[in-house]
Amino acid sequence: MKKFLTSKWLILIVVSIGLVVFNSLVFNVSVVNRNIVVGIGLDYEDEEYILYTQVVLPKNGGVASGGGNNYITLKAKAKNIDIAVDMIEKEQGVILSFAQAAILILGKTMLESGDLQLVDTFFMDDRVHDNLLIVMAEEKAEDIFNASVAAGEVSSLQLVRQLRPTKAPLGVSAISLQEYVRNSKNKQKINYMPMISVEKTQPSTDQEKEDTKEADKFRISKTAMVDENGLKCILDENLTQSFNFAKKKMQDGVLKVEDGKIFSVHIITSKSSNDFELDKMECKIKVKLKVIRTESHFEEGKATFKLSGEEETRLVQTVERGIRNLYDFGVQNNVDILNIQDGFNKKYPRNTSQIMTEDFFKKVSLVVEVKVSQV
Amino acid sequence: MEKAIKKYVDNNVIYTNQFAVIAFVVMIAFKISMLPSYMYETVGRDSWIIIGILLVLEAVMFMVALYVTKRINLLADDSKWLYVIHAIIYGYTMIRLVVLYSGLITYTSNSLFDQGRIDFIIIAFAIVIPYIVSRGGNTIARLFEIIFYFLAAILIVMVLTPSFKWDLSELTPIFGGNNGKLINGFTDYAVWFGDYVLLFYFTVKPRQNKFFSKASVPVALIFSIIGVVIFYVAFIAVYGEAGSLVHYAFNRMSVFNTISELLGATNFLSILVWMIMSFLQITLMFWTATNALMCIIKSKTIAIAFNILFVSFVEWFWVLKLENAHNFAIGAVKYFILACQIALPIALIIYAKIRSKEEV
Repeated sequence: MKKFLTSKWLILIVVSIGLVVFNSLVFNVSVVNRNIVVGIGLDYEDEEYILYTQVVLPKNGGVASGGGNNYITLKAKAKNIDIAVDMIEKEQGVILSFAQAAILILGKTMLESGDLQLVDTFFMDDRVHDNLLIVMAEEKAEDIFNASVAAGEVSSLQLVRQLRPTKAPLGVSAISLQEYVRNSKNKQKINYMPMISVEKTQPSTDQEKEDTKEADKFRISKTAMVDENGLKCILDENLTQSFNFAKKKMQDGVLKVEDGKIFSVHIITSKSSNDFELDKMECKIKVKLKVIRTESHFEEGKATFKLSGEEETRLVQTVERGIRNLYDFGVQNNVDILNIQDGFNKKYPRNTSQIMTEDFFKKVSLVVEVKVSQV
Repeated sequence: MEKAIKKYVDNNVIYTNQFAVIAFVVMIAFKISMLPSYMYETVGRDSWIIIGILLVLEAVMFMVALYVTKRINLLADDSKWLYVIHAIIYGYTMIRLVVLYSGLITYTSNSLFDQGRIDFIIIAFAIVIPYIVSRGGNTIARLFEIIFYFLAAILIVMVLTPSFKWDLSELTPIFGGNNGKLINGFTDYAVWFGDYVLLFYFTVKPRQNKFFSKASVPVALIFSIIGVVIFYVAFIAVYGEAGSLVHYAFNRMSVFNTISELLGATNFLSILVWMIMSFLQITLMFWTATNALMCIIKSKTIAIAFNILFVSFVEWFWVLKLENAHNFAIGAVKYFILACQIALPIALIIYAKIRSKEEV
């Protein structure tokens, strides 16, 4: 008997039974009873929040199938997000799983009148991925979800693909939940997010293609600047590029240089750093660019992709002027777009009372230093 | 000495390299989960410096533990003076166990299941942990050793594929924040430190390769200090002031690697790594508490049964929320824990010296 009680077979049987029993005791919910959320949207209307969740509908009732999945957008209007989630779950008789959510779309009304502290709700929820992207819809978040994008792709995932290409491009100021919440806890609480507009594509001109229906496409070229009170201003395409030069690390994009004979460069990498001098009231922004000319040209009788000395100077001036325009735009709109005050405050914590005055950043002299290297 | 206990004493002899692996894992496990958020709440962006200093002090104490365990065998030594030491170690370990075990239970409940029932998780652990503990210290050391290669492989993959967007300016100004609270950073979280005490019941014998035997422990300690400090630096640079809102730092940070991006939101790599490390550390704590009680009451079975029932009931009925455990840890018990962390190694090193003189 003792031999039986200490045998490895008994242990294996007990462990196997234990695993099966425990699995049935922990109330795991079947995938059929779950709605896997891929995109979340928030609009604000009549002092209530409208929550949209774009969810996967597994084909064949959850059984694996060869084809793609269908998606629907579920909607609920409530005083807060928790109630809205509860409403959707009760209406559908399912549990919403936010672990695969890839994007949070905030409607314009949400940014103008809603409480942006709600974004923290998603951050505090351990099930929500910190890589979740945050964007602003030009009008309503609903418009993005309702867009019928090409190739049968679901709108929120198509948008994620555009926002998060393999390399960070020049024109897109993508931001994740982690970066957004980190910025929102800084002294100034200035934040940014890409603004998305929906445009119609032209029907295909290819005669062999039968599908001539119009489809929607997303345009991501502007940037919304927000603080804890909501939307402050919107950066256009050029200002967004300058914002990315001044604040972000990039690995892709094409920059057109005008003012004279037009040429363009492909940005291999772009890195920026800031330095602050309180005595001189000076903010220095250093931008390091690694570029290559997009088209070859003849120089000293040879075809080359290298920029000429004059072209390099014009490139430097274009980037420099863009960042200055961005700063001036911020001054006009009373928004410290370049986070100058936060930078000073971090370097000079004992001078917080002097630095955190409303118009401190307007008195600072901006020095922009652009260094170009060519591959 | 009871025959069964005598046999059990022989099961607690480990090699120096096993000691090194245990030291490496226990130095890291509970310091990278809930502690970064607590530390940030107290000392802000300077927490990486405070944790670095505390880890260096802890590493020195690990070397003291190694010195002691090479010279005395607490399980076999029947000196009356040691009863006091056993009682203190028992109280010390049980307090830490109650606090840290709640972290493992809530983590398991939140990360592995959608609506994980804490009671069933407690029952599952209550079956496995006593079984491992009953097999003795060298079984635990072997488990650490076997798992170590697996852990190292996952950690290397995670370190080599980072994709987080950090802002190193979040680390500045150094000592520019609330410096008055820095001292609290050293004292408030004593319960999360002092893992060297868990190793006093081992008897360490060196391997034949003397160089490897001597170098393994310092190398393991240096790697764990560097690893934890870099983790804190990255944590602060990634989350900034939002750091205090992040409950499971390691789990959240591990999202930022390209493999997790491919797999989606369920970070199996991080869940596996942290759960294994913390489970092994909790098992080691149970083993220490069992040994301390066994040396007093002279019955291993009763010691194991009492400890598992006591801790399970405490977790079940009292530590239902992490906040309860956290508030308990930063309350008056922290002074007892701090005193033990300083006094126990000193007392044991003196005892070891006296013992070695007596033997001469």
